[in-house]
Amino acid sequence: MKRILAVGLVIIFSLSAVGCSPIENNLDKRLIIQGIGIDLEADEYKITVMYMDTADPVGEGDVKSSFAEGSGLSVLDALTDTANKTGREPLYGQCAFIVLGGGLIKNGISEPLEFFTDYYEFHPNINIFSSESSADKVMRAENMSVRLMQDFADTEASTGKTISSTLNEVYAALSSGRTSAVTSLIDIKDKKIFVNGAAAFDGDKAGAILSSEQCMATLLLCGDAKSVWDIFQSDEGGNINYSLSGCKSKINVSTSGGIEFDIAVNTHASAYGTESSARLESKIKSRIKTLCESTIEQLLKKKRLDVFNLERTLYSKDYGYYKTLENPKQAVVLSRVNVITDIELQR
Amino acid sequence: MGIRNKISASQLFCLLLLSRGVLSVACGAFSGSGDIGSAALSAVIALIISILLSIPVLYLSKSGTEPLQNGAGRVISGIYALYFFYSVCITMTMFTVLRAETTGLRISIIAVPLIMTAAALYGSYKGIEAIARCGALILFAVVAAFVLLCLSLLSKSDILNLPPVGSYKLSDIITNTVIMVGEQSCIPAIIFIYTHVKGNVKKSVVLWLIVLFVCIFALSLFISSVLGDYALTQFFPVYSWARLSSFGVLQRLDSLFLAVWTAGVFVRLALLFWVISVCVRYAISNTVSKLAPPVFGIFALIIAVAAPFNSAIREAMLNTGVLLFATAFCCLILPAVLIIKRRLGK
Repeated sequence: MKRILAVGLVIIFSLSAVGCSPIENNLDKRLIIQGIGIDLEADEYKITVMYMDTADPVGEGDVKSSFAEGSGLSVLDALTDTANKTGREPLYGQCAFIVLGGGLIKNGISEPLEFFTDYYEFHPNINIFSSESSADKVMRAENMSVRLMQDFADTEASTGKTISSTLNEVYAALSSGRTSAVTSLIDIKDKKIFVNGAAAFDGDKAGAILSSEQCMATLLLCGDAKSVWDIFQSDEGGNINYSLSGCKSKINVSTSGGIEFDIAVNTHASAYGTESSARLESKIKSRIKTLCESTIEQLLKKKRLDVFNLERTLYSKDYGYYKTLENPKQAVVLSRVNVITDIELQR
Repeated sequence: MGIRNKISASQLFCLLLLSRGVLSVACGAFSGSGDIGSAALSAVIALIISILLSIPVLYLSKSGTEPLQNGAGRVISGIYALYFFYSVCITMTMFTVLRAETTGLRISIIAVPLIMTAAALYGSYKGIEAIARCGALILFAVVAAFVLLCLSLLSKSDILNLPPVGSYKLSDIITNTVIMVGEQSCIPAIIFIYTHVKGNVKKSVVLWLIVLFVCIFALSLFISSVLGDYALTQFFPVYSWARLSSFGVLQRLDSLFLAVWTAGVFVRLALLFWVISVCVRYAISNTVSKLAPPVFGIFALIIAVAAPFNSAIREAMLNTGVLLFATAFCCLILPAVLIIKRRLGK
């Protein structure tokens, strides 16, 4: 009797614990948000959400997306306004990406990101993108889809032409202040979006736009490059096409007689061409070294943006010295940075 | 109480590790400082203090006889019952606060703690042997889940995220140490368990403390290396760490974390209810001891359910100073009284 009762209870609990039991929580009554675009217009946040159109599915495994917008003095107000306009209950747990519009990245991204960090429904793994144009335009682009945005985020690992970041990574960079936050940059042309480099932040405001080459150099210097594809013109004319894999970097810091960083970049290269291996290796090595040095010059020395983890390295490896610095950021900008490249060509 | 009430020394080890471990998993919740990096250093200090705190209890356990019979033993048992009730309240408060404010689970705030309390009470009535067997199985699941989480997050760890030792604030180290030591309600619980243990209690307890704090030490460093300064913004950094995990097509493994953590909380509550019942048996009578766990359970449930809505209750429950004082009192003063009483009795 006891066993029958126990099995009965298990069945009751199992059946009642799954699915959407109250009728008002049916999927077509929920606003299942897939992505959010945020703009700042006249001191008001304007939100554009892409949501799963569960009321009108197209079938064949594809889910149609719809858009809604709202505005408010805070991100929460704007999101609430958006949800109210649709008359559905929002579900933020499925949100896969956030696009920060041009107005917002110029004015500061701390406030909205703080909201997304604190609000439990948003996952810390959400991909963050920036755009120089409005987020609304990006969200309503013809080719916009969750899959495409995920592909953009994966571009870092596949080609090294952008630097993708998640919510927790951007927020950690903003709150520590010891490194510049970086996000992928989305551009729009003929109503179609594409990934085009990255945006680096000075504090919480956009400080520089990184080209695809600068993204590649930054990833190599930070040791975050997984696979890199590049093409450049050799001195004798003609293009050299190569790829890099197994990239590693090591930053050493010395503080005797001023701060000096040595960044050693180690990687395997694959290239095709008629030139001898030694010559090709030397050209690729020189290309990478030049690219890395010019990126450091452009970003660190001119824009004062440390996207290379230099201040973090100094903080971590020589905290005693770091503590004595009145302005660590300035000290890092004025430091000497040497790049040592070690490339092994495989043909 | 139960049908069989004897457990082995290794079962005691598993039971203590799981019961104490579930609280550490929610570390950072008390202070809200989130400085999980300095927790590694605190773990070393807390290990030493915990071993010192366990000496009187282990000294008592050496005789293998019941220490709380008659006279002053009744009063002391009553005090211990209140202390373990306080520990139940803290555990349930943390459970409801994590569920309500962090996980965003849209289940009634009262339903899960109610079911949990009912299940834990049932577990406590089955006796220490049943709790220990269940604990060993759940500990295996907890370890397996944490290994999976660690493996999935290995690629996200960055040594630069670890704060340098010199950057630790003394106040954070003290706060974390106070929390870690304050949470040691399992040490006084040993007074009520050791007569049910077959084997070397001393060896199990020392091994438990070493394994526990080594795990806390390693996990603190690992979590800090994954989260970096993001941990500073999180009320439950261990849960936030679990939220980042994914394994191939398996995404959002925090559900795995929640499942094993909930199972661990169940074992902890069942153990505490069982200990409360033993305390009341010594203090009052065998009949009353059967009623005590549900009565205490109802009060703890009310407090825990009110905590997410009432900051005063939450602060009272999660007051680290009170917690440390209560634990130190129950680990040092009360066992000292019992030792003196036993000596005078001889």
